[in-house]
Amino acid sequence: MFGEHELKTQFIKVGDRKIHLLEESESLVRYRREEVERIIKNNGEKLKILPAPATGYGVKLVMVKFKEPLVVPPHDSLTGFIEAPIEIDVKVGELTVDHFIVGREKYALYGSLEEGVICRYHVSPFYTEEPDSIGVAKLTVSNPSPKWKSLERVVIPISGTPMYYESTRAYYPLLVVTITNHSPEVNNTGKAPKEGLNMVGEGLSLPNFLMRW
Amino acid sequence: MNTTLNSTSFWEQGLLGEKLVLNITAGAIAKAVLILIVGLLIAKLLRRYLLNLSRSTKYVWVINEDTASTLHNLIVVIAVVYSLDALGVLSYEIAGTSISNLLTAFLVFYFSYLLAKKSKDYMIMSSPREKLPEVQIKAKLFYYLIVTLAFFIALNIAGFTGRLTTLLAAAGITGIVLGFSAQTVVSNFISGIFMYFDKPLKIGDPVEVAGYSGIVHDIRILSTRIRTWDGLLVRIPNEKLFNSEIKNLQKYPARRVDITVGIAYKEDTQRAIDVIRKTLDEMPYVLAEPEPTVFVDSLGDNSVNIAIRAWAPSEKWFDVRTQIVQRVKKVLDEAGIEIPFPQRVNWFAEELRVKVENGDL
Repeated sequence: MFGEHELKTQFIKVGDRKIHLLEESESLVRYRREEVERIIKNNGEKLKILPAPATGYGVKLVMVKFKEPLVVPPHDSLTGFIEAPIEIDVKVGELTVDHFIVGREKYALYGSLEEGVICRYHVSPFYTEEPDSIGVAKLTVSNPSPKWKSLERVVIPISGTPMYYESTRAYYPLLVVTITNHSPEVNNTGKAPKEGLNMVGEGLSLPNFLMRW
Repeated sequence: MNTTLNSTSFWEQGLLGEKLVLNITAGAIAKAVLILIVGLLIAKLLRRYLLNLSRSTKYVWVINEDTASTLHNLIVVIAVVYSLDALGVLSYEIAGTSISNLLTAFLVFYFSYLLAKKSKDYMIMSSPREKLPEVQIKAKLFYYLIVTLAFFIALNIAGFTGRLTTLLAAAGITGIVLGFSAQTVVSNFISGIFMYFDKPLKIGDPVEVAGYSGIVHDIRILSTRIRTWDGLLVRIPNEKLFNSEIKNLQKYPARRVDITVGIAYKEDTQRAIDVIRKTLDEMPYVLAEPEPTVFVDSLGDNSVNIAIRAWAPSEKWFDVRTQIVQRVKKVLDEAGIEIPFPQRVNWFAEELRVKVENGDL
């Protein structure tokens, strides 16, 4: 699914979507996904299907609400996985020929009605093992404070984030949530959540996001 | 020194030294024409060079057709000034000041104006998209400041400052009349400045103001321009805008959609609410938080009225509103839930009798 595909007649299934490549002549390939169609001249270059952060109509944050809130003891931490929404970039060379959303698209307001911000919204259980989902984020929740802390959701900065992938799954970079005395702070480390993954973008850390609300 | 004397005398030797009109010699005219021709030539060559350069440079914002024309005009004007100087015309006086001073003042004002305009354009062009509205206003303020300063400097160079003050002091009544007539302009100007700091709206905001609804197209120093939804330009003086109630439709990140739908009395209201909730949940732009609410609002004359309160991103509000209405109608139809027509049951005090004429049956 993710990775490079030859420009020849074939179906490629990406999550709940299907891409159809059809050789029209020796050098022309018709790209079709639902209503989207492109005619691509084949020069031997491969079609790349890559994961992209779930920016939707132009948001900069993803809010993942846990099905069950996490409770972390003082001076302790836990690591696990959550399902996360992703989008798909279809490229030839460096040119994006198609971009679409897989799975459910939903938004929510994070913060107050006066000062909040719209972000992508997703509800996910907290898994100790990697879930069977197309988009995954590995999360370390740390509580350095001397008190018990609970966490109901995590807000992930995604604007300009690198993405990682293997053939069937896309990953957000490793996320570290530190629950300080006041508000949780989310660090999108930009690092691969595990070894052996391919990277899209530059593996740089994003500025920490303080969850004020 | 000798060279200068020789070169000066060259234009006064022989035929060139003959006086034609207003004590101007043929030599002076020839010198003026020569300066003018050389100036025009240089101006044209420079313009051509800059136009060619503008096709290959990446600094198009500075080296372009506009700059080429400006420099061309500058050289032509300077050539004209030197020509007039050669003719000795600049020493003449008009309104108590020399033509030389007048021309210098005009040049200072004109090129300050061009510089201010270029700087304003550059500030706007080089600003990131998200800061554009703010930068536009700052650039305009900068532009007006430079032009105003240049105007007073030019007046000073022309030697009008003292005269102007005396004139205004002398014509007190005229001053008052002028003051009253400029009141609106000044009021609009001050309102424009206050609005800059108050920031009730910015360029690109959808607003309802002074009875008009549309997108803020431009905020100028005296007026604000709004493009109405049906594509008309409305110019609202800043003073009026400042004193009006302004409804900014996108100031906050989310906006609520309010819709009421009526179902027949015989229908199960809870089932209708569940169907509508499920539909709202399936719509991406209906925000999950704040959660949409669906409830029985009132028992109307003809229907049980169900209220829908759903939040949407402000920029998607209109789309969400139209989609909710359409989808709710569709899902209620699919669920077999009736949206009734208005109906009225008539009761008569006496029983109605129908009279049948012979032969009608």
